[in-house]
Order: sequence, then structure tokens, then C-alpha cells
Amino acid sequence: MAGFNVTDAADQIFFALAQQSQSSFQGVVQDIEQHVIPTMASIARSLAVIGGRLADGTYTPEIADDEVAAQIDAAAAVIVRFANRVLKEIQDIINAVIDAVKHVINAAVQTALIA
Amino acid sequence: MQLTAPYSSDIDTLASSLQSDFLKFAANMQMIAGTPKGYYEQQSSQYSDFEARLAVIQMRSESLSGGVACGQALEAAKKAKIPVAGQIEESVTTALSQPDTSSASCITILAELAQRNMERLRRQHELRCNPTAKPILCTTLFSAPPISNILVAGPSDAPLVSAVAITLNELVGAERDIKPVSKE
Repeated sequence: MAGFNVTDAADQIFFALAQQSQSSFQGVVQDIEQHVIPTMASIARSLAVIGGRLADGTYTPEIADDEVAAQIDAAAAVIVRFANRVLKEIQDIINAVIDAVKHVINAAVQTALIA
Repeated sequence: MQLTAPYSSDIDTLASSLQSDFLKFAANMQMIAGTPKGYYEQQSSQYSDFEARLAVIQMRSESLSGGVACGQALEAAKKAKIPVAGQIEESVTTALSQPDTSSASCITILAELAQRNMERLRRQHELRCNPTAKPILCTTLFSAPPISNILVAGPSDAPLVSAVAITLNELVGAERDIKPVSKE
């Protein structure tokens, strides 16, 4: 078995963790700026339109209620997709760390001990 | 390790084609809303088609195993004090409280939300686009062309169509988000 340097191994694992975290969270921040906020703004605008139509008598309260409920479900969809996206990024970070650990251990024992 | 539902090219294809067909339908409705061609009775078959396709997507998604429940991720977000407004949380909770959806993936929840909004549009179309309803009720349901106005952040004078388009877009986007990166 080759010499196993704990500091080097930790550095390699930390590097993988830091690199994947940076790329994942950059993606999440970009997603908030370019997708979540503009979509929520669009929903807010729709709510204002519904309010205006209710106020001027174009909509009955029943129509307005149905349309408001649809906006709430649309906002929920944005949140659910975002949660899914964050889960995926966490998954990528965990898998990057698992891969790094695998690489470090297999290199130390000089065989593909962990597939 | 798998935290999200596994990617399904089947769901990706089904959801994308549904989104595309829905936008074609909405664009066409913008042209004919307020005329007899736009009456619900002339268009009702479109809704059966859309709703059946959404049901297929939900069933396919439910049949996939793996990943953590979407509700758990949202619960974790709440514990981390990420603000989720009350009614939105309620909407997600309602979607989650449907039979057998408490352990549902985010994709299944999105399919459920899309079905609910599609059904609202169908109901409003039936109520507002018929020979006895005032034409303005039908024209305000679909607004005027171009269709792009209901998809981007900006003027959206067809709130319900916009809400359906958003939920479908989130469904398509969520499936794409979990697509494994090609290692070519």
C-alpha cells in the first residue's frame, strides 16, 4: 500500500467540495436572478391585473378568486422547481465529494477498491 | 447518491411537447377569442387532451423510484428560515396532501399543480366563452397577440393563461434541471 498522507487526502477532498460548491451555488444565484425573480414579478403583475379587473367590474369575485388561486399555484410551482434545483445541486456536491474520497482511497491502496 | 427524482427522457419529451402544444393553442385562442370559433364547445377537446397528457406525466413520475420527497426539501427550506409566503406554502401543502403525494417528488407535485391550473383555465373558458357570456370575458381570458407577452416578465393581460404557462414551464424546467450532464 502506498503511503497515505491525511493532509494531502483532505486537501484533495476539500478541493473537490469547494470547486463543486462554487459552481453549484453560482448556478443557484444565477437562477434566482434570471428566473425566479422575473417570474415572481410576472405573477405580481398578473395579480395587479386581476385586482384592476375586479375593481372596474369586468370580473366577478368568483372569476377573480379562480384567477388568484391560479397565480398562487404558479408561484408554488416556481418554489417547487427551485427546491428541486437546490436538491440537485446538493446532490452534485455530495457526489463530487464521494468521487474525491473514492479517488483518494483507490490511489492509496493502488487498486479499484471502491467502485 | 440520488436526492432528486431520476431524470426521465420520457417525461422531458412529454412535458416539452405539451408545453409547445399549449402555447400554440393559447396563441390561436388569442386570435379567435370573442368569436364563435373561440367558444368552449369548439375547443373542449383540447382540454381533454392536455389534461390526459398531464395525467400521464404524473403517473410516469409517480412510478419512478429514488430521491427524497419534495415535501422534505421544502420542510428543510422552512427550517432554514427561507421565506415561503403563507398562501404559497398552503398551495404546495394542498398539492402534497392529495392521496399518495406526501412522498411525491418535485416533478410529481409540479404535474399536479399544472393539472390544477389547466382545470381552472378549462372551467373559466367554459364559463366565459359561450354565446350567452359577454365577449369581453373571453377576450380578457386570452388577451391579444403576441403570445410572447404572456410568457415574459412584463405585460401579462391574460393572468390565467400566464399561470398555466408558468406551471408548465416550471415542470419542463425542473425535468431539464435534473438531466445528467453529458460527458462527451
